[in-house]
Formats: sequence, C-alpha cells, structure tokens
Amino acid sequence: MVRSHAALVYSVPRRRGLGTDDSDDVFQRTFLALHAELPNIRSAQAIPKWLSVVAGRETMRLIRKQESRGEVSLEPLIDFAGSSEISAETMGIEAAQSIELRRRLASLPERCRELLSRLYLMEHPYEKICEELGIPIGSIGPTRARCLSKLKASLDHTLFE
Amino acid sequence: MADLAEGQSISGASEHLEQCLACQKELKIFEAMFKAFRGEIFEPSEEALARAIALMPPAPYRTARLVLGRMSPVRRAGSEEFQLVFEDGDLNARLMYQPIPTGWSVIGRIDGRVTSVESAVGKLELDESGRFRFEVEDLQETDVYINSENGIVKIPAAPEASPDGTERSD
Repeated sequence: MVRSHAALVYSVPRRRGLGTDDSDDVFQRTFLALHAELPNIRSAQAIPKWLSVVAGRETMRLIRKQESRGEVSLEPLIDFAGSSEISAETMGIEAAQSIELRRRLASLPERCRELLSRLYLMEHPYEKICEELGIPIGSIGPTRARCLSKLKASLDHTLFE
Repeated sequence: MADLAEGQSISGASEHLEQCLACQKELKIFEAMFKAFRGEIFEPSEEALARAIALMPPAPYRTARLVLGRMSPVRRAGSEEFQLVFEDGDLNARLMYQPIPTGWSVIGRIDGRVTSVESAVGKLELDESGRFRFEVEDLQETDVYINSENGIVKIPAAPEASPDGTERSD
C-alpha cells in the first residue's frame, strides 16, 4: 500500500515547495496517520483521497510551524489566500488528480497514450508530433478529442468532480 | 468541451453553458484534467519509502483459489513451464511460469478492476490488457499481491497454491 501511494503522498509537499527532508517528514507522518486510521477505513477505494487530504494538512502544518519560526517567507503562500484548511485539502486533491490522470493515461491504447503524452506532458508542437507518430497534422485534433474523452471516461470521477 | 477548457473561445458557448448544468460539470472535469497534466509528480527516496513501509502492519488479504493447473514434482524441479489460473470473486488471474537460466519468468494476466500489483521484485507495470511480467530466482518468490477495489488479493507462490484458497505448506 505504501508503494502504491508513495508518489501521491510525496508529491503533495514537494509541489508546495518543501525540500526533501521536510517532504520526507510529511511522508512519514501521513503514513503514520494512515496506520492509526486503518481499522476505520472501510474501502480501499477511499484511501488515495484520504491520504492526499492528510498529506495536504501535514504540509500546511509544517509550513505554519516554519512560518512561526521565521524559517519560510510568506511569499510562497500567496496563492493560498483562503482558509488554510481548504487549501490543504485542495493541494492534496490536486496531487491525487495528477497521479490518477497519469495512471489512467498509462492504460489507454498506445496511440492515445503517445499522442496525449506528447501534447500535454512533453508539450511538443503539432509538427513534431506528426513526425514522431507518423500521423497527418489534420488528424491530430479529432484524435486528441477522442483520446481525451476516453481518458475522461476512465477517471475516478470522485476525484475530479 | 476540451477546447473550451483549454481556453479557446467558441461562439455561443458561454450562453449555452449558462443554461446547461451537465455541460458546466463536464467543463470543470476537463479543466481539472488539464491542470492535472501540468502538475508535477515526485517520488520519495528508497530510504523514505522503506521507513514508511516499516511503520505499516502487514495488510490483511485474501488468498485467491487455484482453479486450473497444479504443481507437480516435475514442475517443482523446474524442468518445464506450466500455467496456473486463480480466482477471487470477479477477479481472474492466469500466470505462466517459465524456467529461465536465472530462475523463473512469470507472465501474468489479470481480468478485473485492479489498482496495482506487487511482487517480490516490487510494483509491477500492467499493460492495457492487464498483462505483467517479472523474473525471480525461486518459485517460492512468485507470490503476487493484487490491490483491487475489494481489498488485497494474494496469488500465492506457485508451490503453495491450492484449490480451496488456503496455502499449502508442504
């Protein structure tokens, strides 16, 4: 379980700008919390969302602690102007969405996987994609639309709605 | 809708969206998808991973039933390839065990909704049809753990597989 959700939990503090030591701390604390909560978790499906929210809260807890000691500047917090609790949850859910999206992308048919990866992960221009995949430029748009629909249909919608 | 979510302007779209709740919902999903594409993913170090794993108790699991194939003494000796089929509810797993110079190659296919699959060599990559492959030195290391929506299902190591879902220890 730890391996399966490692990237999800670790990405939350890293995406928020914490360094590796602090992120390791959030990582350990989040799984420690999961360990304590395991008897109450009824469905394995609920675990990714639960972990992402807890990792978000642990990240915010650490940032507030560092902030109170003057160890971090306020600048990185500018985009979290609202309630810090909501921000912590949003932060976790966004990491969970990125993980879920990549997992489902990996299970798409090869043509879709290759096209969407080049378009949105590598951000290659259309011309380069045509060369690499050997497809006419006019077919990228319609293929992209079909592939995005397939990807959307495969997602865990509880994370995206 | 994907074009709109990417910021393209489409004539009449905003008027339509104002009156279409389903479209608003779909647009939000596409917007979240594009944001998720841009989000970076980070992996922890092996040390951090090992420390977190050490915190966790062994997860409870069910052992899948062997429904086809069996371990014979010849197979145990490692002279021929063989196949075993396991079931647990809607989950079906076919595993082919092939002797190789360094031990055994295991090629598997899982039918059923699976979150992840792990073996003695770590997390396994599944292709779009649920196939995976790994190599081990000994048949005793061929156990596989399938994380599914209904909990964790263990495919026992080939020598321990039994038709009733318990594990042989002979």
